[in-house]
Amino acid sequence: MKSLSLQEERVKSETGTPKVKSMKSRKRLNISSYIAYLIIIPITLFAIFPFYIMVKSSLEPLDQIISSFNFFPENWFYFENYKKVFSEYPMARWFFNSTLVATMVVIGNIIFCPLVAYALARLKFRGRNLLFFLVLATLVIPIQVLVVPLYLMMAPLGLQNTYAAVIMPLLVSPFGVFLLRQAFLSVPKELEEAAIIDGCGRLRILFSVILPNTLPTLCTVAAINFMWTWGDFMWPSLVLTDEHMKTLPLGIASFQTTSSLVPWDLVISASVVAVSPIIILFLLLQKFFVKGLTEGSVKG
Amino acid sequence: MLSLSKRNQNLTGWLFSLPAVIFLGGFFIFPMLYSLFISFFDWNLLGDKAFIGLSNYDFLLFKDSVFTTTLWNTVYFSLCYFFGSLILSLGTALIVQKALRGMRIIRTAILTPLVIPMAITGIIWTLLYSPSGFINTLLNMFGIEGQQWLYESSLAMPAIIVVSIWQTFGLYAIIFVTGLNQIPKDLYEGMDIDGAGGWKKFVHLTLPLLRPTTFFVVVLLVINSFKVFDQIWVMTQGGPGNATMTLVVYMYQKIFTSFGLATASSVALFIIVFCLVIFQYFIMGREDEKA
Repeated sequence: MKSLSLQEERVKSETGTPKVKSMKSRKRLNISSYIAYLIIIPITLFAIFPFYIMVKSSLEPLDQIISSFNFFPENWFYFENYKKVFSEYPMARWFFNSTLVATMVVIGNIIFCPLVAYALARLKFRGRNLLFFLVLATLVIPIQVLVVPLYLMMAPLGLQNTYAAVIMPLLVSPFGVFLLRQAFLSVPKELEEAAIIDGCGRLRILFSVILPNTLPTLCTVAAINFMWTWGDFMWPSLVLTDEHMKTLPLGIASFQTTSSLVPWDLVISASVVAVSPIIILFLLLQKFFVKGLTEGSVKG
Repeated sequence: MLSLSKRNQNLTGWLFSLPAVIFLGGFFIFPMLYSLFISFFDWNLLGDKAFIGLSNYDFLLFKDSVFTTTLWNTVYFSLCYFFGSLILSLGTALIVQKALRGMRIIRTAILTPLVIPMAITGIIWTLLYSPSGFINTLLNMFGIEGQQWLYESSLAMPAIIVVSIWQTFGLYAIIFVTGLNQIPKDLYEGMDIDGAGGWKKFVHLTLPLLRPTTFFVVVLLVINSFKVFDQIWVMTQGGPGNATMTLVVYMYQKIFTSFGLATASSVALFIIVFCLVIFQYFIMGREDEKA
């Protein structure tokens, strides 16, 4: 009920002319703003407080983490957990693995997705509609459905514990194809026709006319794919079983299963290491992330 | 003159699509069909495979009580996750789309959980749920006794539902904000003149015009709810007992004992998600066309 009256006030505040606004409505506007903050602040805390607890706990010794909860660490500069986790586990290697796998997937996507997206958007070829239908169909297939057959396909090829096994199924994301196709459709045809008159080939047109005009979408595809691959768990957990081939989430999850007593000091500081790059990337490239995540609702 | 010849476009079109055809064909379409094929076999890591027809499906549906529990758990999770996310994200969207100070930062904050690996989410929340962790400490401050959240069968699933909502509600909220921003403001002015109240505007204007967005969110919610795995695997591995065993967790465990049962349950997952998406399309998509 509260949020509904807020809705009304929002409308008033944005559409009402000063002439119409009475003293009474201005006063109510203020109250509604207070109510808005009153609701949204707990929700925001709910969203970000776990991050604070994670960072805080990583700065505490083990017995303090498990014995009782304190809102602040005793020493903000206690970095023993980080030293310990890097010396006891191949953290640097896992970090490298995660970065390599995610980077390769991003490169594959920004090369292959534009090609097929351009064909789907601008070229008339037999089977185009069928291909587009397949892209849409693969958009809704959860990858979980595919892991068993993929696993059975990789084993005979001797691809167990190789980066290739993790990277290959992710090189062309249906999401990237779909997003880029929509973006390419919005590039004016005239630009392209001018290039054709100048004698440019299709590949040249794609790279020097279409892509420069849709760069934000390409960045979006890169950002979202990086995020997905960085966080991917189930598929890598099946093919990367060797300690040195693991990505960060796999490595960290294995801390817990290897002993009954969870080494929280190591687990939580390793988690901070795994989460930091992706959060920094998100904060820097926020525009692209948000665009990618909401695009579907705009373009349908 | 301007466009290439038709034949030329055919060739170029297929050349451009070739990498995608290979990868989508090899790693999506083929595995889908292969999965269906394997589900008719008795096959495990060591043994040879033997064709057994529909026996795997028969076992799952009628003989294995764990699978029945699994289906109920999945429905339980999905319903709670679905409505919890929908209400929280729509409510959040209605507030954060207001032109108030600080809302931009809040929009960033609520989206942040989404970008972190789900397995790490599971780890963070296991710590929060631990016996002397943050949640029990918070409850104690209000004089409520702490619980063994992840070790009690009646509490484990709700605990995981909260985690899952935490991770993704920001995404749905931001999608709703995009939808709300597309509603023309002058429509509200028209209703202002008619003297309509807030509730009336919400029901008669906001909700109907938000329909395409809601449809998109609902599809995402359904797909995401049925494929839940990472956080459960990290937090409880389906336990205690089978209290948090969901479809994908069940499938994952079966990979190591029976490929046939694993693929049969993944086929079940596919059928459920596919039917629900089609169903939603007919219920919600159709009415969009009418409007």
